Amino acid sequence: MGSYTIRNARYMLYLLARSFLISVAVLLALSLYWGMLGSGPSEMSGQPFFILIAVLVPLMLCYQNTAVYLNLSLGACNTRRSAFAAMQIVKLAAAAAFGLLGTVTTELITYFVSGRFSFDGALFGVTALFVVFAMSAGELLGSVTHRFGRIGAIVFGLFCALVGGCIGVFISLAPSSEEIGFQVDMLTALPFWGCLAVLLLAVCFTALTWFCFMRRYVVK
Amino acid sequence: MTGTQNCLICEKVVKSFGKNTVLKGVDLTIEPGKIYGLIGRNGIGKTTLLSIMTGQNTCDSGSVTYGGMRVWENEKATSQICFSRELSPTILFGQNTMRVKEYFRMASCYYPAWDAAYAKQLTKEFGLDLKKKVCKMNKGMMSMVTITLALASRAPVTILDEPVAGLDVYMRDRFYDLLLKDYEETGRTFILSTHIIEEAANLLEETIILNDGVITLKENTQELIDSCRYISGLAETVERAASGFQQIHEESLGRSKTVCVRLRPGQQLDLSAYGNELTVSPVPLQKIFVYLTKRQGEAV
Repeated sequence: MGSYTIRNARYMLYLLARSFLISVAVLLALSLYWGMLGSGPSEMSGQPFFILIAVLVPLMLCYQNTAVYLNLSLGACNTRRSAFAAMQIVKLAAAAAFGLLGTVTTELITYFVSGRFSFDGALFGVTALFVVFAMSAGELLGSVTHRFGRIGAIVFGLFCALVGGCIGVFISLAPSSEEIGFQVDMLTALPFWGCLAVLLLAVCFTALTWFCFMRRYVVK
Repeated sequence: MTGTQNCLICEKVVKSFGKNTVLKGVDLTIEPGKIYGLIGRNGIGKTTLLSIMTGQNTCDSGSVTYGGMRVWENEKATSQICFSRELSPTILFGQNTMRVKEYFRMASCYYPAWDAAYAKQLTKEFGLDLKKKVCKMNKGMMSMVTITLALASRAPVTILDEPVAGLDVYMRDRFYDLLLKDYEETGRTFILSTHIIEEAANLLEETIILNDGVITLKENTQELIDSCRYISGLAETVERAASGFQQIHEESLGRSKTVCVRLRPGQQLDLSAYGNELTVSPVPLQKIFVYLTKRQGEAV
């Protein structure tokens, strides 16, 4: 598996780095925008970061990777196993990178609000977990889109709507009407079984991607 | 070369799409160090066959090996092969906004022997703009990108699918020169799938015809051309002269008739007995292909 996995990982890490930089830029832009609208750090503490960074960007990245770049990779006579292995390496790298980004961002916001750092390791873990989940979902949805065309795209749209709905539910559960932010504390308070469920779901998505799609991925 | 060393071999490859069986037991051996032309009619399964031979897609049955190793999911084998397909101006459901430099970056990651300097040279030769998006390119420019990817990959087995589609006469000529030069320098194996047969005829060492799901012909190009002849003259005389040979085409005009005959190995075409009554002329490769692949009832 060796050298081709590394080759695939190299290119996909380049795509990840690009997405990561875009995420940082969008995060900064949104923070400035919200700041201009009068939001303080406490309102900004969870909302822009988690919605965009932990869910959407990795999801879109993996979706595009599987639907588009994987086709090009296999079209260059790579093997499916090496491409799949590379995708998992990139998944872990993304989990670490976005987890770190989220943790650093939240720590900075906490510092601006309270004048101290919280050093909450749980945030890194939770963010990494949701990145892995989002990327696994993106892989599966990308494979479905590549295989079934427009039907896959519709399924992707429905999935995004579902995720958006869940985020809306969390926002509606905010403690008070003055705090419109999606509180990160709620996620770091996720029970162990909740984290395990998310992880198992991610593993299921990955397994489904491999067994149902990647082995029979048709290069077009 | 001994045995299967560095040979790309297909054995009884079958591939169906639903109820349509495209490949019906293809047997093909690609020996190293030659330029092959794979020709066939539209939709006959050339790209499907090539994608199976390069381990990109699966076959329903049969096997593909390279140097004795199976190709499917085998990095050792696939690292020796480059299959450069036509680019598409659309991707997923939208335009293909990837830039030329993105393709080259990918190629540098994926092809072990990628020659960046050669790619740069070809980019300059073809006048490609690295920042241009594929959706903004015409067909000719997309072909140039495909050609650059294939030639700069330096893969021992390099396959180009319709490389000259959309290229003008000058660029096609230039491509053939570059290919020949590369072949002379590296001695690698090339397989060209092309519809512009006559131009490529001088380049192709061996011609492979895919028809009706099987390989119906795999022969040295020059020998194939030499084995076919037009015999023209008065109909009765032509019929008599051609009677001992395999006739692959005939056409009549009034009392005149022209027959295309194909000689079997070792067979000679001796029409000296007919003197000036008959005219014998060579048959272009393109016409040979047309005659060998025409279907019943089709006019040629």
